[in-house]
Amino acid sequence: MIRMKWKTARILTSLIVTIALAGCSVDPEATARYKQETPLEATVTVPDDITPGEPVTFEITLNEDAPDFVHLELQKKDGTLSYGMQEAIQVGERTYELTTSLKEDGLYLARVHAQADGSTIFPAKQFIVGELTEVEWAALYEGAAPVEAVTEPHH
Amino acid sequence: MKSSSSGRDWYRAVWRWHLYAGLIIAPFLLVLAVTGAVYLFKPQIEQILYADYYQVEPSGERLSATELLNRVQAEYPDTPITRYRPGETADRSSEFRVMTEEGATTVFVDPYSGEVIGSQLNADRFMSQVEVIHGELMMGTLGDRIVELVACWTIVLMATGLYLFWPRNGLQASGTIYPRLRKGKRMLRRDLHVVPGFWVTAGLLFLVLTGLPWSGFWGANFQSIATNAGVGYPPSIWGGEAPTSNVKSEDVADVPWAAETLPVPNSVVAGYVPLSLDQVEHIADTVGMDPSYTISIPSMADGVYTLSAYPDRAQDEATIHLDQYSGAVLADYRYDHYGIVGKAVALGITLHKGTQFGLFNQVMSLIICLGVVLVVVSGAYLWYSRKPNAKSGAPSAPSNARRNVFLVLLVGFGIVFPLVGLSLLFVALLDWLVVRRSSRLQRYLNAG
Repeated sequence: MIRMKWKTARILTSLIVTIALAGCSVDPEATARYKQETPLEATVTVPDDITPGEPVTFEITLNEDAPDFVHLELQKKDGTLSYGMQEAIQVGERTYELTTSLKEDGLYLARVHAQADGSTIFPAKQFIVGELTEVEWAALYEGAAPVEAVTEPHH
Repeated sequence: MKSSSSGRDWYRAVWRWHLYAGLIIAPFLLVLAVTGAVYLFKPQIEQILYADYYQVEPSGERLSATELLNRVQAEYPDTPITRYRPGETADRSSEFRVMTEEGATTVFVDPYSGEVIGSQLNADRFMSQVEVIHGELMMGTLGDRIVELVACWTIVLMATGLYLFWPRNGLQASGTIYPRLRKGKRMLRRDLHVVPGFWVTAGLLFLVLTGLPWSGFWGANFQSIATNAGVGYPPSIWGGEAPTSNVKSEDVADVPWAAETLPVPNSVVAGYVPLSLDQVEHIADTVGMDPSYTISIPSMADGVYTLSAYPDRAQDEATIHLDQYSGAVLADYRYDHYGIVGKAVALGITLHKGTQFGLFNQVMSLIICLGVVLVVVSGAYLWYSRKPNAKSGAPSAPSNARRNVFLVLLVGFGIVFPLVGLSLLFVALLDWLVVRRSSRLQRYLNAG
């Protein structure tokens, strides 16, 4: 009788200790059990060498078949020159292109504006046309000074 | 005859647990009730304490978020800025969270002039300190676990208290709903504990149950299980990771930082650049956030901008993760998207904090807190005034049979709340190693 009690006590103790120590964490797959988005994704391909005044082709690839619109906005990063928004032309499945020329040397941004299935995006890629001045290089480096990475909870 | 003596035996067992648990828990419960009562009025108190930081005079156009960020960064060079809060009204300052060497600091900025009004170390805020006492007794994780234990044991106290109080010959208003003032001191002392106890039980149980999901151990596990089962908060709101921005790190514009500014090829410079804070603020306007929202700024190349709002009402909550390069909405979680348990927990939190129903909510919760203080103080007084001089005043230990039934109940409770289970094991060990080996202690505790 006493031995049985001992056994029960030991089983209960180990049960409680196991539950107490077994921490449960959120399963990465749990996201699938809640509302999900279908974010539009775009990649922009910019040629490595761009000469001012010469034709240049930007290629945009999407992950969706039927976007509402695909525009490309070209401008100098310092805001001194803008070519406005231009419509990219479909050249293949989910692939769009825009051919144009940029007249000045400098640091530029190619910003895609696209929308499909309720998802709107406007990613931008920076690139160099011709040569940068020393001042532009300095500005570029200054903007890239690293700051210490910090993570903190959202709640 | 037998049933009446067994009834008394049972009553003594419950009394014993109520007394010991009460004596141990009472001081903590008192601290929680007092700090909770103060914390309830956080909005009003902070509005008075920090009026100089909060209030701005609207004049002309607001500066852009990026401009404000640059002003703050100029004041705090080489210091990471992790959050931006635009401010919910035209006369409210904007806030930035800056991670200084001293810790997370809130910098208040006038959004019209761009002037930095002042800064405050978050840990130094009066309400942060009240919160740290209420949530972890200023003892970090250990304190968090103690608070959790106190919450669980409060349920035991309420259950045993209700059993002890329950009149064997029917409920009567006197001595339950109101105290009997003219039936002698002994009766009055009893009623001063029982009557407020009766009144606060439901409210206190609610506060305990709504507070437990925030606890570090039981709460964290409970939330994880609920999230994994699809019935809790969606991932990243409480536990779990936020999504990541969809870009390969080699595709991000990356200029190697150097003391000398040397030209590098276009292939190095060319790459995606993160959205500016202005652009993110614009997205926040279009997706419809409560005006008290905050933008969390990513610190890693694959991090996301997170828009989050936790206003007074749970139904207005929102957490939205944005790809930091494209601005794509990667996740958009509102109250309606929480699972049933998540909704209950969210509502429980705003009710517990007293914000859900405004002043009415605050006053109701304050009454519960004051009632708890009264029950704790009168309970301690009741025990002290009744106990014999050289003894603890505990009723004698029950027979083995009764003890076993009680043990089964407590072990069951201990499995649902493992910390309680651990504390029971600790008590059993203490009893076996110390109390059972000292006849003096046994006499004092009436544990024969």
